[in-house]
Amino acid sequence: MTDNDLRTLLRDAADEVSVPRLATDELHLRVRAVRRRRRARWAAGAAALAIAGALGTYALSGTLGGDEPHIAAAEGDPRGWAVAEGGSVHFGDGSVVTYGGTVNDLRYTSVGLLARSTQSNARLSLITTAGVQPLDLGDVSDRLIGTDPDSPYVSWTVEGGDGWLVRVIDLVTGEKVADVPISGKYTWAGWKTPPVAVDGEHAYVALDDRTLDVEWRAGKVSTAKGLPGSYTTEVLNGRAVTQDATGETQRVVEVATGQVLLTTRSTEFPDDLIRLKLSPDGTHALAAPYSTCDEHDNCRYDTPTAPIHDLGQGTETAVELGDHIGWAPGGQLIRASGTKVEICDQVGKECADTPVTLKKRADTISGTMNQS
Amino acid sequence: MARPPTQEQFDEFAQVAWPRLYRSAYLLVGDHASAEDLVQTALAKTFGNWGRVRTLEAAPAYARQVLFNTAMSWFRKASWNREQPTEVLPDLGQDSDPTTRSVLLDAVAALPPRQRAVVVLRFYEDLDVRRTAALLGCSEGTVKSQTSFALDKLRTILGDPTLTLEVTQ
Repeated sequence: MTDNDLRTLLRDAADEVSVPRLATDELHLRVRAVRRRRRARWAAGAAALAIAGALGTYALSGTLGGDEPHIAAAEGDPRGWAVAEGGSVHFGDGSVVTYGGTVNDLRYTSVGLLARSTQSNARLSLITTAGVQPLDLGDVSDRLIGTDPDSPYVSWTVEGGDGWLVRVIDLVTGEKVADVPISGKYTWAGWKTPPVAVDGEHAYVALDDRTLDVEWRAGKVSTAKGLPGSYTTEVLNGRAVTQDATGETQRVVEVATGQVLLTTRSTEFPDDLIRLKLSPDGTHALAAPYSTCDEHDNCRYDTPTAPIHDLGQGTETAVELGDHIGWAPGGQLIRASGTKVEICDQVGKECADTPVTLKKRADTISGTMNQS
Repeated sequence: MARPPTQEQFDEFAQVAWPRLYRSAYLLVGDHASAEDLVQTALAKTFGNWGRVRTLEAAPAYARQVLFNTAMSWFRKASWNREQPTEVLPDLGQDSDPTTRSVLLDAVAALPPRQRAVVVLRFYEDLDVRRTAALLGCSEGTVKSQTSFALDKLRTILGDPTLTLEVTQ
């Protein structure tokens, strides 16, 4: 049987599936519910933007003068952030590096951006403003790797014994610094081996019934208190995003203790779909909507604004999303809209243009884990 | 913003799109109740987001994307994953016919969610690797490897070692 046979058989099998009548009454009820939520959200967002706009104007006139850049921290960032358009990686300082392929994602490490291409996920490359360094770390295809914006360590799992090894590589030397054996049941995700998140000297490995906290330097393995099983997430500065069994509620938690810092409910959003995305220092969380793509692969967020939560202050601010929005390693926001890329403060109020000029629009923004 | 369709126009679109979306949903989630819930959700969100849909002609593709986005969101729920064990493959016995339709659907249902989504998009929706990757928000390499793993598993379940993949774009 070839793939064409499979295609035919699958279509034939699907054609045999009995399709019930569309319950239009139920659909109308759901449409009305979506519209109600949408209206409520727009009203709240407009009010927040109006308040934030007034405060932003005051801040700009009161604290910044002349041609001074609005965001001093955006200059001379040694670790750099970037947006990718096709095979070109545009750093925030205006330098452009050509990558050998189309960039799929750019993950932060303390020594550069760790990249994989859209064409192959087997090999990693390290990208800095100085250029691209292909890494010879073996085949990492179809593994969810863990990176840490504040360290040079990258981790993934490999088969080993009756379970797996949590492998940690130091990108400074290219050397393996740990192979910690773990065991358990892993069936929940489609990756070849269990997915990993890295935060300093901790690696978090998501199994079916629990997430393991692997202190890789010490070789100690325990169960992470704040993370469930069958769910993978980034861990940033000891914090992570989790979601409940229904998927409607997402939380930011302290991984070590399970303490909840923020709770959001997707039903409060127009499409019932959001992803909380933590800033690299774990102090802020962006509740980003999903993006949808047209037939030309031009993708847009489903809403023009989204809330950013300050986890320390407990406040919420609406930010305009542009085409892509993400976090820079220093905690600022990167916003790409068409050919323009801006760098903004942590709540997206004070923004400054950057030297980055794109041809059409960004495909990818650094710090995005683009491996569903 | 594009003017939303009238209720009559939207109902007509929904009636036409319903069977195809329903079958995709059924292949994705494996039961009728969840499939109906998934398609109803996707259609309601399509209407609610008409500013991005813009035209009735673009609505089917938009609804499909929302359907898959919603399904992937469901799959990320811990409860969903616990309810869908995939480690133990169904024992089909000696008399199983790999061309039997229900057997094929059972085999697809036994795949892990991401592999199932890739199979449905590539072999039922007939999307190429690039479009599948864009829709699922992953790399083309991931789509290729997930397809390969899925076919490995289907071979095992269906007992058909000749199931091959011509890697087409």
